[in-house]
Amino acid sequence: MADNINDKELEELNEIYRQKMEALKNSPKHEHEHKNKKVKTVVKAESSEKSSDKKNSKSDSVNVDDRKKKLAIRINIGVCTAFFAITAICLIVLPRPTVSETEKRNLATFPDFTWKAYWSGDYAEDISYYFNDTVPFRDTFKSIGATFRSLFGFSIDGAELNGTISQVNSGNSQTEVTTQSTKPIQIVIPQTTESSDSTPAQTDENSSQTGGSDETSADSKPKPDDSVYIAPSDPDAVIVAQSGTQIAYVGSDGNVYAAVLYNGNRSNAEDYAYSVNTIKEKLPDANVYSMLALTQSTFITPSELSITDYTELSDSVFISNMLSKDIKVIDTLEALLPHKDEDIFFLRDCHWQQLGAYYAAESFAKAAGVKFADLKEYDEYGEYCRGSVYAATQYDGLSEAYEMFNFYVPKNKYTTEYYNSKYEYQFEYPLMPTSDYNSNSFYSLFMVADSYIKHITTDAGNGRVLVVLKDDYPSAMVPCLTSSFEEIYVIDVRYCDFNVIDFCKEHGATDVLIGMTTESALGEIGDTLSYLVNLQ
Amino acid sequence: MIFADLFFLYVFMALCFIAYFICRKTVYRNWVLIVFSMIFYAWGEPVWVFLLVGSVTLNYFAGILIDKYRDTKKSTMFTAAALIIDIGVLVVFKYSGFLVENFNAISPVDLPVPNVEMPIGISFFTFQIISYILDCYWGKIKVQKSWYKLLMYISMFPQLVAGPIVRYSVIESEIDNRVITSADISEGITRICMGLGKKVILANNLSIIVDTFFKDGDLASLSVMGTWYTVIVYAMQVYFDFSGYSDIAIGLGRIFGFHFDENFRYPFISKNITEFWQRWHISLGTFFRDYLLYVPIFGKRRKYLNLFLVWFCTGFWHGANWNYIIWGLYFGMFILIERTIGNKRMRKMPTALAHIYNTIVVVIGFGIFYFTDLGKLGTFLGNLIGLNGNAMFDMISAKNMMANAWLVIVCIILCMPVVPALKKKLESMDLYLLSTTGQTILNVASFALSSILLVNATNNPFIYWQF
Repeated sequence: MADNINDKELEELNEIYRQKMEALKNSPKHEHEHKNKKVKTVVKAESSEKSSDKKNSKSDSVNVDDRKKKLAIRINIGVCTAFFAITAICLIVLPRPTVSETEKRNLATFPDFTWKAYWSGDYAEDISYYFNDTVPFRDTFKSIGATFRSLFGFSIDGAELNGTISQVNSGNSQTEVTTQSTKPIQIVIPQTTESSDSTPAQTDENSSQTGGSDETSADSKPKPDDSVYIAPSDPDAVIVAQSGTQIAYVGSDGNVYAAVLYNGNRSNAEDYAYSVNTIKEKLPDANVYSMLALTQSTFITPSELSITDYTELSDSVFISNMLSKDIKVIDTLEALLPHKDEDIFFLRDCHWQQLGAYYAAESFAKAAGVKFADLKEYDEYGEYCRGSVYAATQYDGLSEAYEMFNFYVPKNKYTTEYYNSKYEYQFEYPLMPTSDYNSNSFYSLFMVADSYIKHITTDAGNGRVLVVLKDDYPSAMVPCLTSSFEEIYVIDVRYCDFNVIDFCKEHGATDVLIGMTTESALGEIGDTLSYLVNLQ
Repeated sequence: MIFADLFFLYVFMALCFIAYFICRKTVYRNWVLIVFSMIFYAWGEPVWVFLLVGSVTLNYFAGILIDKYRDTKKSTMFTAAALIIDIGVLVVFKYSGFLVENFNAISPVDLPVPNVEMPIGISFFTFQIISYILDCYWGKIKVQKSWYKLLMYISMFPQLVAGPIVRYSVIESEIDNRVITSADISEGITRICMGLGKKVILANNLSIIVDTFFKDGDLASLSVMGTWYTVIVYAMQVYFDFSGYSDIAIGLGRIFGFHFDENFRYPFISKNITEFWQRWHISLGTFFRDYLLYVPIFGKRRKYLNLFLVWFCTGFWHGANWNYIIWGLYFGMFILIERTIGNKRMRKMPTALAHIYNTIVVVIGFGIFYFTDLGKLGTFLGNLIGLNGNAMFDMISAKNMMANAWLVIVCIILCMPVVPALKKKLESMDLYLLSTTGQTILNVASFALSSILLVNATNNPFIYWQF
């Protein structure tokens, strides 16, 4: 627009110039130099106008640039601030979920304030954790995140590869495998005095999970073949999705499976052993048991996928050998091996089926010398469920891979009280609330949530009081013990705020079972147990 | 508290901005920054707030006394005393265990090894304090007469725990007089969004690759190609992690009206190691250059011995472990070689060759940086050239590369100044609004995607947090 006005003015000036020239032509009295002067004046004026136009044009251009910059800045601030403010308000105002259906777990709760927790930094960290863990629509966002990560890689052989692929044997004889030997590990479990003398084992696992009571060994009469542990092998297994140590893989049979790869750190073994030994030392009159529950990584996951130098089995033996002789070790290999062909583990979830937990509980009951209810004394249920690895990997191949979840509710009489982490009474509720549990969070069937401390009073009538110090894994085992102990206290060490030895003393524990996976014992849960043992 | 955390982004930062901009006067804004910085620091480790405040108080009085007795011996004495205490605190908390362990190893005594918990960010705020004291002593700055203003400078949460190391002289005038323009706010927003994206979208996902092979995998059996692949990915991870943090810090500073110096300028495009260190962690490099390199400690031999000292300290600053010292001296060695060859001759090297030389040296350097276990470091170095009998190629690494091909390619591209070049090009084509609108969309996308990836995220700490 500025340019048009200037052109107009220029045209007017030219018109004036033409009129002047005309006038000069018509006036002979005017001197030549006079004429030139006039012309020069007009040309100068024209030139001056042109210069002014140029200046205006440049100034306008600068103004335009400034305006554009200001507009861009306003857009950037406005859009980003609006997005930020709306998201912040949504995160603060919208109701927060309490359960993750895809991960099958209760989400974090807002922490209770204590000065101790504050000064240790735990209180603040727990608030951050609560905020991050309970984001509204968290499962949807996690799914979007997984979808985004799937864009990182190529699709190979019809399988979408995302995240990372580790320790996979391609099955191609031309390629090198950087994992450990794929040769199956064979070990022999010493069932009796005779058998332990007869066959030497091939690895350090052959020393077995020692410490199991003689009674246990004597009573077990597995078939000869069942005494041999052969590490599962599938050289053609290919990992198709991974999140941390949780993987989805395609086996040589073409089916999709899920696993949580064992990732224990043997260098932390002393903490767990020290804790268990201390418990026994401080509770000399109680029977103290250690159960390092073996998982599907020992029984099902192909050994070719292993990511550690040691196996779960060898580490569990390693830890057990550090325990004092007074500790009774519950050998879950021995308990489960005879049943390895039964459905004792999920194929797409990190937990064992309750049937596996039942056999482990049976082994424990024998070691404790208490009666143990036969499966006939339970009500059996079954429901199809989706395993937890799907939630972590978001692998499509697992989304519809439901499998049967069998569970057993004991028929005898018992009541269950639920307490908070400070052992303050909360409510009474069924031990296994079959009527209102969620199939997408199926492990919460066992005693509602790990965060509660449970007190189970049964009709066993034998005066035995059991305290179970555990991670989440043995949850399925506790209901199998309602015929075996008169009182059972169940404490998940992750949700406990008191000295567990003092607790055992105060509640007259005759038996203390420390049960968790080997990886838990070698990780933070082992550290937590150590902390709770020494807590003043 | 860390930046890459939903609670920080949507609660802490939001409340801080609201409180900051409600206040109109600079003095109140300074107090807002102090209060929020204290909450930020106390979030995970409340006890160490006392150490931070105590350290500031001590150095505040030291500064006053240095100024009062300027040009006298007392001034030197107070400077020395302050430095000894500051460095002493750093040594006690960061290096005491390492020093005692090594002393025990070379002597017949067996002293108990102290297990001291290290306060977060102690290396960074100690260096800021040292720069303040030395600048006071040398008369480069006016001593800060107000305790709370010095506290604000040291404790300012954007740069408190992981840098950049902001010199007092850089923000001296802005403590009392700062103007916040809409351009500053816009630039600050962009830096925060881009920094968060670098950390959460790029660095965190690169870390999964690194962990797969270096942390969880069997290093001894990793192929030559796999080792190179992983260490290159690790170099990029550290770059995006640390420069992302610096971007957020600089962006927050801009919104609050402070103009911190840049800490990274695309270091991987360097043609030699000298240039690399002029582009990588600039605030640390300039700190050692200004406060150590030209200090005449070693008299006539200072040219080489000061260089050795600088690179020893650079390595040691990163951690109490031998691999960090080796890492520092490794770079010092190459810088010495480059100095010996001379700039002119170095410039004559063909560009492609120069980039290859720089990249190889830098990448191997990051391998040294990663492995705190010297045994594993040896295995890593052997792996690079196949000395451990490892294969040249393996399917696992190849599959991992394919599984993460786009991520790695995008990261390689973003290591180069492609985005600024693209913006410049668009602006030169009179497409200014397209360029800026594109940046806004990128900002929102980066912030939104980072937020999604942070939902229930684990394994998220900044690498330089530990230093």
